[in-house]
Amino acid sequence: MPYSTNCVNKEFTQKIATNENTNKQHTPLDNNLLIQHINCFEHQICQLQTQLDYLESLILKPQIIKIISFCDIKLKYNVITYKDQLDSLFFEADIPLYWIIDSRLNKHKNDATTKSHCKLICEQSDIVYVTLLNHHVKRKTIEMLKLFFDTKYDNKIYIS
Amino acid sequence: MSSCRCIADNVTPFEYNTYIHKIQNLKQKIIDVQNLLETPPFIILHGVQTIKSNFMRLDWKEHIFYILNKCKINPTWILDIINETNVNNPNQVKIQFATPYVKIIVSQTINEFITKNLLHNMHIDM
Repeated sequence: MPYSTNCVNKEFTQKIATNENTNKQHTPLDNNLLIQHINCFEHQICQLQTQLDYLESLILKPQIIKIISFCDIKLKYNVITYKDQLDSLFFEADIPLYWIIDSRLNKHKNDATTKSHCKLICEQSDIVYVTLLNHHVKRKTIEMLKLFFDTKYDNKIYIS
Repeated sequence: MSSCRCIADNVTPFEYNTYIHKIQNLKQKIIDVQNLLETPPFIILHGVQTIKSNFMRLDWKEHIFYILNKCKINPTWILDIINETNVNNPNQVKIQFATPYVKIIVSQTINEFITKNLLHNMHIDM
């Protein structure tokens, strides 16, 4: 992401340095300019700190992937719970089970008032949220799952 | 306005430069973290196939797993193993890890293994 460095005015910095050397007092014009610069600096520092916090959270915190149309996955083994199915999926895709920290199924309930086409979408869209160790593990898992789904399911299952 | 003047009056050129340094430091940190996000932590292992194993027909990947097994390293800590052998650097393998901490532990263990077994042709680049 490009950063705005317009507010870092080199001429002004030099002017301040000159003032320091000659022990001159700041004029009101200089003061106003200085206030603008300080505000701009603090705003920029705040923005950069927010961005850094976000990036650090990506590295340090566990990451979640979403598998859409999870019920469409047909595996070799007959499984009852979604957790067993998830374990089987990772086993078949050669992904270590230790990379999973937690998982959660978000099954849409069929609502009688929902329109027919919506019902169809809801029935098909069982979503599983899988919490993985970290960002790198997430990237590798997505890569391996995509490869597995592309070869076996012809892009019927989506990961995000 | 008066409070603003107070700030301006109190700001010295030293403080002004401090702001600039702080911004530069933050930008550098962001670049470092972005680099960390781009590539997983890795080590480069040189001279892998110089190790003598009981199984003479091991390929390069099996050699790595033979070493990892000997060092009692959990294979699930490893994200990927890439053969980076080229003309200038034969038997060069890159091992990517799930976390930086795992990288440190594994490199320490392999270094101990190299020292213990006097494998002078093998070494690790961090």
